[in-house]
Amino acid sequence: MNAYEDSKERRVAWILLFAAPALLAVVCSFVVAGIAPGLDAGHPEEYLVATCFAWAVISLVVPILRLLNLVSLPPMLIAAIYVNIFFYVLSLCGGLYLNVSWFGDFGHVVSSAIVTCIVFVGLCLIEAHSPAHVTFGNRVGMCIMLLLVALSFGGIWEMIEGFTDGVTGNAYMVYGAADTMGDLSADLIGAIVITICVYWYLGDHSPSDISSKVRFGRRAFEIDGESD
Amino acid sequence: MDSGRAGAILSAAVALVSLILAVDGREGSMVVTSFFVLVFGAIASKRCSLKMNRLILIASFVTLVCTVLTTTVLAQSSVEKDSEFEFLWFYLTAVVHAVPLVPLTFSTFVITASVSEASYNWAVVRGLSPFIAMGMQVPGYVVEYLDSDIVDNGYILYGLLTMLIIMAVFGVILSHYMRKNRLIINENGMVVMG
Repeated sequence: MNAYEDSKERRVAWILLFAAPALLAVVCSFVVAGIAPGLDAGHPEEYLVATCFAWAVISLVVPILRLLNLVSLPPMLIAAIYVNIFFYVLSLCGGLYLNVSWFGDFGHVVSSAIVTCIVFVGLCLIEAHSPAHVTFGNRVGMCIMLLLVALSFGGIWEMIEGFTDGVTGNAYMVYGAADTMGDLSADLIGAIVITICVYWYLGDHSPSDISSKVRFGRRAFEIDGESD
Repeated sequence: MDSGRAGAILSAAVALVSLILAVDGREGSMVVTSFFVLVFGAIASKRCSLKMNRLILIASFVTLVCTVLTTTVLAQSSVEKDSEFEFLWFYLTAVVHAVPLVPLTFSTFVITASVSEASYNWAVVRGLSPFIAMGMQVPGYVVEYLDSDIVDNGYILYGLLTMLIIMAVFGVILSHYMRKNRLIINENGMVVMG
């Protein structure tokens, strides 16, 4: 990569490193101050605070990986990840999940769609960095794996919620099994939509078009001319 | 009629019986699992080796047994909410739902390879097996949602967690075997790397 690209990416990474947690801290301050609409909607304060904290920590992953010259993601994917983080936290603290009957399902469709995009990038990287005899095949093969792996993350999310219930003694899965299954159904819709888009995309492109936009491993961050 | 064709017809018949029992018993998870067996069997009969077709046949019988269990002895009507038996029921149904998906997860690799010329090594199998298995479970819960009277979230959570653990263990065992014997999975099943 050239020095200008490196400098631009590092600048963005530094901004994300501080701005994302700072903004989430601002949201958290509304909760602690007792004025977040999510509190009136019925979410416990410690649940909203824990959510803000957890996502603030998670938001550090992308910029840290970039600054350590380990992983660099395409700008669109980074944007999608951060939009999803703030969409979820703001919606939760704003009470939308409890005050608007369809919002929970809508949120799951959006999140599942973004997770499917991330899984697609991951599968492209696996293929690019595997030996030559390893391949996900044509676009049918890629889409089958993509759909199944993406769906599993919906289940993993529900397990995390259930584990949180067990550890904290609260009932965050307050609506019961029907709500969980509704969430999984919404996840299925989001995953299917993106899988169809990926199938269409792979008609004219290949997984290497995606993997080439992701830098992975220190060697990929060597500045042109520096290795001479 | 050759043995391969006979086996394919038998596995389709067994899967169909399982599907009918699951629909009648309102067992969404086994409806989807039975459907996977039917589809995999149909594809394998045209595109895969005899060994793969035998595996699908075994999977179909395992699926049928599990469907019978979940619609009779382990039927939801047999458990009372908040009773002492409820947690044991969660564990038992979780295991019974997971067992048929073990051969079916392996079949997923082979069937997918057969329709897409894919090829997977031990690392891909080890890394993706648990996710593929859990991903195959989710549609079952979606089908159950269409006629939902599930007693508790524990039913879903223990199901997913059990699948994750069983498949993680199976994935490690299978990948170790593949790595040791330099095997890859393609449309012919497990073959030695060229």
